[in-house]
Amino acid sequence: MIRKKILLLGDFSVGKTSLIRRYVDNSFDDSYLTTIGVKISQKRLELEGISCELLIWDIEGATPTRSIPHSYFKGASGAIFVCDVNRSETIESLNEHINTFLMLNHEAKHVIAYNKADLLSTPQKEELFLPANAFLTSAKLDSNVERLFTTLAKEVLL
Amino acid sequence: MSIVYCLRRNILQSSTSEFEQLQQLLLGSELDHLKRLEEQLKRVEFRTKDEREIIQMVMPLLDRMLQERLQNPEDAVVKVLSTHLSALIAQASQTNPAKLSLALQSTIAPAISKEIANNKEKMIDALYPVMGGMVSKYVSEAIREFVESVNEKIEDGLSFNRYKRKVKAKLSGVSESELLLYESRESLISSLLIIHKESGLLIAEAHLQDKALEDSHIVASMATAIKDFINDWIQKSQKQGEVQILSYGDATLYIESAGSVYLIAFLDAVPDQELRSHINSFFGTLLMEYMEIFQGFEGDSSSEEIATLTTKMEAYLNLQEGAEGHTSPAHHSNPMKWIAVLLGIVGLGYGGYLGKVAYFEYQLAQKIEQGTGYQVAVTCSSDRVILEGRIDRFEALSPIEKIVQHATPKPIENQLTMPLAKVQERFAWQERRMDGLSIAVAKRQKRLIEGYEERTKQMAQELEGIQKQLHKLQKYLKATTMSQHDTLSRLNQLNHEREAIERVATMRREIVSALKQAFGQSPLLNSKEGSVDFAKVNLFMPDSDQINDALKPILQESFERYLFVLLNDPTLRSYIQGIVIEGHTDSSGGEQYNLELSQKRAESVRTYLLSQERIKALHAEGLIRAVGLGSRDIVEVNGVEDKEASRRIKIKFEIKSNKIVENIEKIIDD
Repeated sequence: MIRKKILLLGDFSVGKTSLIRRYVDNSFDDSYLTTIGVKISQKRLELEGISCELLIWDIEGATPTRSIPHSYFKGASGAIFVCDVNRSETIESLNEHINTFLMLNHEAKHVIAYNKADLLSTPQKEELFLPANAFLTSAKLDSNVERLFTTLAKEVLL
Repeated sequence: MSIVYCLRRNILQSSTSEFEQLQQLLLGSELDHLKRLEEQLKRVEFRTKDEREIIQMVMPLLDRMLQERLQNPEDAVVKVLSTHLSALIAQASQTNPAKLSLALQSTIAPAISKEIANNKEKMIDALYPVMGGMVSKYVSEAIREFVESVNEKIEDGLSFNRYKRKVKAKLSGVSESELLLYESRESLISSLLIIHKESGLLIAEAHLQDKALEDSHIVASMATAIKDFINDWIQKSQKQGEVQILSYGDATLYIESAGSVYLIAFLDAVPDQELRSHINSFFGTLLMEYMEIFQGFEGDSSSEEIATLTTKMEAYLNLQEGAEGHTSPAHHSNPMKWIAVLLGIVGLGYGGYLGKVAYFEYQLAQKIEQGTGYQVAVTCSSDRVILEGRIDRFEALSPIEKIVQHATPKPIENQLTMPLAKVQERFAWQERRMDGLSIAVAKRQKRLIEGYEERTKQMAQELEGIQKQLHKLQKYLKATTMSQHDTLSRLNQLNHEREAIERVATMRREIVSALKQAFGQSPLLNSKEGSVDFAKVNLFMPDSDQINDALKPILQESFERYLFVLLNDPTLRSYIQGIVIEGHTDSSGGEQYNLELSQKRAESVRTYLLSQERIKALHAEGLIRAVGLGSRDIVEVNGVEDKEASRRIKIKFEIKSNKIVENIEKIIDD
């Protein structure tokens, strides 16, 4: 069994925890998220005949009064960066999250989740331009969540 | 009080003397009493207006009343007082808390005691949230400190149990550390996890039977995150240290960090120092053996090495658990061995020195075992330390020798044995390595030599170029130096010439000045050029070179005066190059004719003058020469030739400046 550490990063209230809830098999108590700024969840999956397991670290966004230890970022094989597609400031801060992550994990892979797509109208969706490694997701409607995680898992494992 | 007041009014209204007499007769002493009463009444009236005095007067009365009421409580009184009691207590706690607590102590303490006795469970439940944590914390801390203190003393001292354990270990063949693990059953290790430090991924895990952790991988990651979180806080607080103990409910996590991994031991109590040291020692042996696996871990825990690692960790845990159900190693030992032990103890008492050496050997063997996991017999002779035992890897040799070298400066005699297969394998490996090294060295050597040769060639070429350049520079320098020297020389020459010119110029001026003085206002002297010009005297007839006889005395006298000025003063004479007698014609004849005529005229004059005795006496013949200039320098008056004036001679001096001029011209040409 191959296991990999995956991070879930993004601003406050972009829906990281909802994405995790929708996807994973098992996780620690949510109360730890507010205590130490991280919640760890587990997901087993099989990719092209290979059994593997993702240990997903849902890391709370840093605030002016609270910083997140950089050691959380270390040793990660991949990361999912999440933003709220309806809040431009969360999209703008994606680069900062990505740079911080890649600085500590040079060879790691990443994908981007433009979350809360259920709040967009159809014309808005049509006008949206997404990068190649990005997915329009909705934890509420379970849209693209599985695909998001599986894509990153393939990048990391295969 | 109202009766007294009426009497007072009546007395005041009866003011006549008869009436007063009658009063005195009827009332007598009562009247005096009445006056005293009146005075008292006045005082009372004054007091009733002072509120504080009234309160002071009334309070003792009220206190007495209250005490009487409380001693015989009535529902009504209690009801009234209870509404004000809390306010009164609050007020008293601020004004005089000591007195209040003293007053309440006697009442509350017995009441609590009684309540606890009657409702023990309820009281504990109520108090535990407040007191439980605090009590638990202080009790745990006190016990931990006590245990650590005792352990330290045991470690440092020579306790019987320690020696017993050592002897036991010797006899049973079970290591002392394992025996210690048997004895430390108070802190039971239920699980061991080895976690990759950076990623928090679980590398290996081992659990006691029925104690397996659910979701051990999440637990490993979570423990890593918690440890990182706390360590981050510690670092930000600029404090030293690292988290080693985490407690959660009944579980205690002992975390030891080294290299690229954590080891986490799950215990049911906080481990004492001895157990921690033991766990660390075990962790150390794993680190040495599996360091490469740990460092290169990328999430795949299915390798064969990790399976053996897991087996070792399980064996370690089961050894601990086995103490519960199995007989201890002491039980396996033969009673005869205990007799031998006693004999041994007697022997130790007999030979102190031998005992000391043996103790050192034993300590060293223990250190080796704790540090490397190998049981090695150590024998100290007078000049060396002999190591005997069996190891299974060559890599173990270096740490063993390091431990011995740290303990004693004596040289080591290594009699450690190793499986033949391992030795052969090692030799084969060494051989391969040597071959590989030889090839690599040869390649490297060749590359270096080639590199050096190439570099030498380049350097030789560069050197040649530099030498050429240097040669050119030397030549240039030489040329420049010569040129400079030449320039300086010429410059000096020029300076000399300049000085000579200046002297000549000065001298010319002096000669002309002397001539002016000698000739005075004579019209014959051309004061501008310092010559004597016979243009005004008609010295020659046309086409003739015969000197007009009438003018010969003037000619002679003028020439003598001229010569005297030039030749009499030695300074002036030293500058005189020569004296020129120029012959001139008018423009009537042809040029050649005129030249010849002028030459004849000049010669005629020279001959005449040199024939004169006074001129001869000056010995100036060599200086005087005659030159014919033809008609090139005719005399014109208002643009018309004065032919008489043109037929003339002119006497001039030449100064030694010609050579100087030639030199200057040459320098300018160069």
